Amino acid sequence: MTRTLESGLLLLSLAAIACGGTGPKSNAAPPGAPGQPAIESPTTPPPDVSNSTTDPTASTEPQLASLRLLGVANPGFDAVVLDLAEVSIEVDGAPLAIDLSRVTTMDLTRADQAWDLGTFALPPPGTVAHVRIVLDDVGAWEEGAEAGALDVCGLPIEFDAPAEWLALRGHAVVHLDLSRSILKVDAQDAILLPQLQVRY
Amino acid sequence: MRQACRWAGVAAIMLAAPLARAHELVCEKTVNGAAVAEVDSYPATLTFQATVRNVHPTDVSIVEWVSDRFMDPPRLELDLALPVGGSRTFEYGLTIASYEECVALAGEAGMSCSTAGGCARLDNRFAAGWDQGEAQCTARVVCKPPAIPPPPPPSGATRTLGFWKTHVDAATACIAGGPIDLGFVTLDSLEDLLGLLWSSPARYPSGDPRDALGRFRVLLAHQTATAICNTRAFGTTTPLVAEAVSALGGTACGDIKGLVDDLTAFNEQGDALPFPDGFVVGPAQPVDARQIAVDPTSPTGESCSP
Repeated sequence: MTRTLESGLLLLSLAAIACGGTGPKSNAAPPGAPGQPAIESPTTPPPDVSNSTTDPTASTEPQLASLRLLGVANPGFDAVVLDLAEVSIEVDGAPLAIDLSRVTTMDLTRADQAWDLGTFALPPPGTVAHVRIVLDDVGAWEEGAEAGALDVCGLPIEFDAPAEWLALRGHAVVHLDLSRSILKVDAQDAILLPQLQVRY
Repeated sequence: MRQACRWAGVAAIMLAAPLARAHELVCEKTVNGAAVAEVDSYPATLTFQATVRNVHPTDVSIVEWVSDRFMDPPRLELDLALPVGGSRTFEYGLTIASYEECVALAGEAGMSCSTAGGCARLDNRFAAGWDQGEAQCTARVVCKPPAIPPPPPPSGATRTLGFWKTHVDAATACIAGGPIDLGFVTLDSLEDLLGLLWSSPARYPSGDPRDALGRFRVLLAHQTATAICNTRAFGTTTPLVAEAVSALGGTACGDIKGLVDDLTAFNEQGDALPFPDGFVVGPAQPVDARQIAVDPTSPTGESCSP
């Protein structure tokens, strides 16, 4: 892995952000940050200004992380509505307790809204959390005067999240690329084939 | 007092530590050159292509690993530097011996629905990781069974949702047959009928998103109203309408979802047959129809029952 020392300006920015509370969230949530998707209560992720690592064991407070879903690269949909069916997180094969948010129906065209899927305790350093998100069929889309069903039957969204990465900013955010993930089948119907990034 | 500067110590430590570069990757995946490939004869040879691209605006990105269950091995540890705008394509193949094998592979993959419309769906994910993130891309193989039974002969002329929502004269004749009871809403006027047919399953007229029950109801109501108009106009009937109206009046989302495809198939089965003598089609008027339409649905406060 290539690493490099960045400018002092960036470091000053980091220090300023640190004063704003940017690490893994504790039970006292930090405020929102401009320029980032507005995250509904209880937390707002901080600006994505570095890939610095933090020590999740540095505090004795229980440290939490959230799992979020954000629609990006909207090609012009007025609405892309999906429901959350299931979220699970496992560490070494054992399920991790998740404080599921009350979010069920999500409109992924809201560029300012990274939907909170659930909150969980940061897994121990050195471990990897396996995250699984299942969307509920059928979703729906709307674009101008047209609208129709969005068939989301397919693979669950799954990824492995190292504890240290989750600790970076206290979240894992799935960025679902709407322009490439939604394929129109005909005038009324579309399918979802997830094309995404997982960011921390 | 906020937790102020609890992380300032971390930032100070980082002053002496190197920082990672801001890598960023996206990937694109195709199977036999498309995002979705259909297979109808076996053995079927598939070629997957996955391209990883550096989309960071100014910096090299390092591809640390790639994975795909159909690669051999399924995960490759890499230290691949991609310049700005640079990409690398991975190509690998898969032979599916039979429809049954496709179904089995789909089941192993953990698909939330491995078969739909009599075909097997086999989704396949490629992932590429950088330090502190990953990109994922998915392609789909649709496996058709070797012998698809022929559809039953049409029982009479029908037209689809797209016809009824755009032909104002035909819709006018349909609603002239009386109110249409859809279980959760009754259509009393042309405005109601066109409003229902044009209603978005995604949102209410207010712009608020529909929850699952609201969405399923609209999707089935589209097909139910269409089927009722087909009966009134052409005399083509199906017992599915009564089932649909009953389901729409309830909150069992599984029942509602389960009828959408069947009723859609009914509305499509006679679409190629000519109009009966004397039926006044009228011109397609999508703009006028849209302007007349007033969505009669609104939030009910109900939700899907278990």
